[in-house]
Amino acid sequence: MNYDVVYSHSQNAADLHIDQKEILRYMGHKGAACPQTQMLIGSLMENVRQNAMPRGAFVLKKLEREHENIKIGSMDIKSKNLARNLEGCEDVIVFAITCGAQIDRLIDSKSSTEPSKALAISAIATTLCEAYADSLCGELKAYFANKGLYLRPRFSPGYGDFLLEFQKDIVSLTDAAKRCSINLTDSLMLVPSKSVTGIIGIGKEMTHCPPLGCEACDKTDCRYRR
Amino acid sequence: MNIMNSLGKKLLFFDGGMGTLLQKRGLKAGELPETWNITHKDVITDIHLEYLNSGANILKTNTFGATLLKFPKEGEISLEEVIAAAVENAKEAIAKCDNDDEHYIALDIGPCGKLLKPLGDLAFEDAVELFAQTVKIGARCGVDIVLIETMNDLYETKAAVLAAKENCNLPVFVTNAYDTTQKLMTGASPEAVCACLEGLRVDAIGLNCSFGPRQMLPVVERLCAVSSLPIIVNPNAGLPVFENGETKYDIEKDEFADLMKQIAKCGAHVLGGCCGTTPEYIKATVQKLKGFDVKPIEDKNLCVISSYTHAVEFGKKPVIIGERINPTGKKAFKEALRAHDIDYILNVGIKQEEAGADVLDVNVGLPEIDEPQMMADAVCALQAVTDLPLQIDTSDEAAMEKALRLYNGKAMVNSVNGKIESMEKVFPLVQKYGGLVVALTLDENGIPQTANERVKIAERIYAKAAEYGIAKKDIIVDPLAMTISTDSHSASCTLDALGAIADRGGLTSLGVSNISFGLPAREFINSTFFTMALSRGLSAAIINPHSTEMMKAYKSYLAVAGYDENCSEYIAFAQTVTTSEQIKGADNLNVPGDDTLKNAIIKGLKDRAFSKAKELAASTPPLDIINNEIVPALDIVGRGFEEKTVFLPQLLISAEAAKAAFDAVKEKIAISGGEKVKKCPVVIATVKGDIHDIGKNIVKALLDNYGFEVIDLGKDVSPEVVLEAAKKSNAPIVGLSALMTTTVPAMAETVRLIKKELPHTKVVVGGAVLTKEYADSMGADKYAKDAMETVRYAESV
Repeated sequence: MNYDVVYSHSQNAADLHIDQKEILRYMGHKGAACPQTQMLIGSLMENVRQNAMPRGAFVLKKLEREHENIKIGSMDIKSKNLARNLEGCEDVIVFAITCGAQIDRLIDSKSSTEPSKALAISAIATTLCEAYADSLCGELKAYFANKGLYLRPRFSPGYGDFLLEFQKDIVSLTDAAKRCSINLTDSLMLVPSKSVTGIIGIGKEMTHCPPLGCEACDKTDCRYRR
Repeated sequence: MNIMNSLGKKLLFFDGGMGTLLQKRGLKAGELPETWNITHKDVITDIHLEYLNSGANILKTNTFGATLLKFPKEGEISLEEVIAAAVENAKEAIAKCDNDDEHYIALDIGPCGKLLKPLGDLAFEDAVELFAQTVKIGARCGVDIVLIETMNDLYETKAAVLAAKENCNLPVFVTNAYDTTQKLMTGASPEAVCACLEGLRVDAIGLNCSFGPRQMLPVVERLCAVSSLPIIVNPNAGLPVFENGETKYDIEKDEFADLMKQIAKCGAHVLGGCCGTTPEYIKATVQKLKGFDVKPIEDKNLCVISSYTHAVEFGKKPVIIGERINPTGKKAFKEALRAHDIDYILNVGIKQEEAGADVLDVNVGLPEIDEPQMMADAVCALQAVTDLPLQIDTSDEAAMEKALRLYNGKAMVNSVNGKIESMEKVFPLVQKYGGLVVALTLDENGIPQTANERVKIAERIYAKAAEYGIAKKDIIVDPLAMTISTDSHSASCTLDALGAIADRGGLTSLGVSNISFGLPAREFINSTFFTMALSRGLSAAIINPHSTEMMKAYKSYLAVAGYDENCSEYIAFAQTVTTSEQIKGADNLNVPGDDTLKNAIIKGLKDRAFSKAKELAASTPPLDIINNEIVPALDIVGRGFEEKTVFLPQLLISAEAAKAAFDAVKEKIAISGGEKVKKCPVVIATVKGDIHDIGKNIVKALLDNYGFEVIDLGKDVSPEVVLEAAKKSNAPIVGLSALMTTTVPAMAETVRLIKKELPHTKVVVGGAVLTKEYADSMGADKYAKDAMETVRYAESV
């Protein structure tokens, strides 16, 4: 894999495993699913898979780091959290993935008339999107393992003190608009909405990483906390 | 030299990629390539010259991203300067080139970088204006062609085409970026793109970017099969991919050239390259294709319309146009129009789609409303939730124009007639925006009583249309079905006229139900007339797709006339007719707990709740049903939600069941003229810059259930619009939602404005990013952490 070359990637939605528990979590549902919710999700899973087009683009970049000052390509990032995540890394993968625009159309078509379905579709699609991100990371992990290198957990703009403004740079670095049709609104929202961008550190040693996801976040009263 | 003299007659060549070549010569990541027209003009001119020397006929100016978005007025370099320099560089290269090929300059316009509403936040007219600025400058600088390329959204493509057509007289070429499913990112098939662009009268269409020539072949074949225009193909030299754990790179120039020859054999007329290709690729291609004779352009004579996803063809299988979006004779629909209840219209549309309509007629004509605005709103809302093509049904010229302009695809237009005044109003619109237009066989003398005279009017309409360049394939004649209750010969007159037109190769359409006006059991007459018309060659019918009688006639006809292989569609249909009885039964058997309306709502059984409520409405006053069954059920579910024994999905499912019950009860109220049961109005919106609205829609569903009159302004709503709606409706409560930190300022601004202008109006805010602290600092009256809290607050106010 060469530095500074953007690689395209795609995956069949049918091959991605979707975790029921995660779907429920995104729907704000705690505990085991009640029958109606189960039926609701079950009736829409296939529809979401058929309308999803998992595609992504990523680029291998050199990392320059001094304490919490991180330099990747044109990005000058000041972030304690990201610095911690990237400890011991010399390179990073910058990526952008999406499940496509049809999903947004699907959600919109149900939003006014059947909000329960819109909620379910949104939750299933989010879970699918994360599953795709996991899958791509898995492929990259295998690729770099062959070279004796280890990947860190992915870290996205908006996590901790890694500012959301860097979405612009990431979308530009990965040529995301051209490769997988991902754009940014003025308010820094990714379009299509079921899209994820981020940075994955690559290092020579496997490290014990700081806690991830919900466990690392301060908002203990969040409805969606794992 | 005019390219139109050679286009389609001999093979022409575009140049190849510019971006990768510039990167090799030092273009930094994040640096705008267009600036090099000024800072490195020699490099640009050299690259252009290399392509010309390799045999390229058409240069794309280095202006791919050149719009006011990337080169704003306050910037260091102006848009004018960039485009002028780009054109100058191309001209200089042409001057320096001493081979005797024809040379042309194409103004290169790529996507503007923002997605159009409803997917993104850029309004259609703003997109048109943006591209218009670029076109004006390019045309002034003296380009030969406008090339709109790499667009992966049909709507943005249309905006750019209109901008080009409205601001210059140059030939317009369009190449789109398809994906591996052979569609544009926003879902358009090659057939849909072709229908839309041919309707807009562009001069050549095709595809570019995305992938290499091999993956493009299937799309090239599809375009060549349906297009009556010259075809352009500009592939990448493949793009680096990560596949099966391996990295793979571009294809070599000779392989590229071989594949381009295959593409030329398919029927392409202009060949070139995109990302990753270099002058060597173009040279190899030109050499490979020396002496190649292009396929002559053939008019495919297809009669098509399209939505943003697919094309619907007329003249083969008869087409069903759903008639239900029409206020005539529908009290509830008229109410909905007066109240600007878009959801009502959407519901009517979606239900017809589910019932099997191929196209939706859209008629929102009511004297006391602003029809042009309503029509525009209806069209935009419908094309955001359904992918069926629409028939714009109006006699209001302004409404027709607005709708045709905003329509995403190629629409059906209802209608034009034989009166000179009508044709002079409608044909210019169809000429500009494209469309399949319904032509009524009446004129200044009224409706002729004989078939022959009706056919004569049709012939006159064809002739007049030809003056506007509108071909017979874009006209569908309606020989007018008049009721047999006043004239027993009217059906045979219509059918004879229909037959004559069909025999001469014309398309036909009918508003079938008119035939039975004034008679009882109308459906029997309608379905018989429908079948007779179908057998005389009817191309399309405007009917009620929910009518089992009509669909029976339709599906049976398709099977009998050989349009239904293995009768599989008919068999599927026949099964639905029998199982709908069974389902009603099954619902009865599986209801847990007792069989009351209250229980049906708690359990979230929508159909059960509707039928139970309807049953009760026959014997119980509506208010009793609401107060004794529906409201207590909602309270139980609501409390469960607050106590965290019931969660959001169940809350919503129950809310939908309650809504179904309400709809059943409302029907009764409308018929018996009872009083309205609505509490006060509540204005809700997702704030400016925010395009997510699931949360807001959940609040809407619940407020609606609890009896509030919800005025939903949608998403990405500016503070002024919220204020306007609050003033107009006298709503005591305004609800605002925001998803992200970046949109909190817009929310603060909206709250501030409302509090300033309407100090007595209460503002409640919510959304994933909101906290009580944020809400308080904005001056909001209440922070609601979820939908139920919003409802409780609204009730307390």
